[in-house]
Amino acid sequence: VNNTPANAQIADYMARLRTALQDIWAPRRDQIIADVEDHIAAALDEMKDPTPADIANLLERIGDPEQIAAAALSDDPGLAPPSAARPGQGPGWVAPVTSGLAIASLVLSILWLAGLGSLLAIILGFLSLSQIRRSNGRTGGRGLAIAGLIIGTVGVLMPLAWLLLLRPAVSNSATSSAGSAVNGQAAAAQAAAEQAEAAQKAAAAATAAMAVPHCTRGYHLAVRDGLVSHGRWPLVARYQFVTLKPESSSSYGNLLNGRADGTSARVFTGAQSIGGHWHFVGTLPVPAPNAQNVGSNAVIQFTGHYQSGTLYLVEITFRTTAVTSRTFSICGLLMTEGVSSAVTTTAASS
Amino acid sequence: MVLGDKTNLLAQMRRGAIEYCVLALLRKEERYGFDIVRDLAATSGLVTTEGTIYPLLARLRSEGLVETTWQESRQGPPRRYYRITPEGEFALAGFVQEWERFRDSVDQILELGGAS
Repeated sequence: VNNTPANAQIADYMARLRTALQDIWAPRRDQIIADVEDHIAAALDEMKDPTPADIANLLERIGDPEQIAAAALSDDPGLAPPSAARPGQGPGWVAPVTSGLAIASLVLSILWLAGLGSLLAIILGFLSLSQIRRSNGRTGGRGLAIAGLIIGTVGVLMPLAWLLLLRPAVSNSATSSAGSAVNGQAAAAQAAAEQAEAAQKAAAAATAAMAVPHCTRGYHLAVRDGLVSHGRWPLVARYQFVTLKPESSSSYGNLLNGRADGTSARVFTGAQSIGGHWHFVGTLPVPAPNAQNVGSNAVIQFTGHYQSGTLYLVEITFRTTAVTSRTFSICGLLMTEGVSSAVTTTAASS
Repeated sequence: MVLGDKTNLLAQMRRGAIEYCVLALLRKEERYGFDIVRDLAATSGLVTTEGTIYPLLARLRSEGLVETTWQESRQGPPRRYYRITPEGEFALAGFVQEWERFRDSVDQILELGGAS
């Protein structure tokens, strides 16, 4: 036991054996090494004072470590790859080929294709799983197939869940809006929307009318013509109204009390019917601009009642904006049946 | 196999038979590895390198044809003893039957051909 040279010989041999067997499946390798160690121990027991030659002879009889390793491999070829010892992977084990079905399953599950891909992924996933099971280790890709199955299932369940959970809510609201209680509200809302639309139209029309030099805005009356008399002060403003619809003259009998520059005066000079449209024509002197009246207004107002008490107001404003540049605006404010609008026309005087 | 290559011929013939020889050695009693190897080596030609029996023993154990137990030895550490299992007995019986038929057939052919 204390024979150091013998121990060194044996240790060297065992090291060589471990190296030779390093690629053998570990449990098998460990057992072979333990058996050889036992063998040497048993042999040494039988020897009395073994010489180095005895040890060498003993080791020679056991055999070269490479020979033992070769014997282990030829006895059981499945020992060769370290992974060969896994269950179901005996001798002749080769790396499994990944199942094409499993790959297709995973790809389709990801593509989804509005649920069709998911359905196919589930089918292919099951097919590839059974293929892998039957292949006895020759076909791999079980993880891919399971991933395809899971993603495919999610791809099918998500739209189903949406249909079951969200659709009733949508149809409920549709049904309730058909109910009579809400119907009134809907009608009111519709009326409000129509009013808003009308107001919007009116506003848009007013804006458009304002941009037009010859005002044509109004239900019954229109400011046909602003005035401008150029050259000398005081300017004479001339105006003309025309009814948009043919009317009898008596309908406008109460259009009166024109007022110029704050002064109440009957300013329109006459009314005449041209093809049923009544024209009201008048003139107004506009004072020369000076430091005092710059920015002041010359106003003509027509007020009156039409038929069953409807108020018509026409207001024409002449505004001097500067002493040297004389810009006038004429604005008609027509109140007809609750809808009012303003029209403005601008003229310049040199 | 090249004719006359004696080493290779023996290796081929030994490959199929040696594990049953091991099982046969264990039929009567359990033995430890060194014992088995020495007995096999004592029979001319069956074992050239004793160490090569150990991979075989390890495989037989993993196949369940033999099993091992630790037993105290009179001197030194406890030894691993090999014992045949019922599966091993069954396999051995099957081999013995096949072997006898094979051996008779070969002998018969060899005699027919006039080999002596």
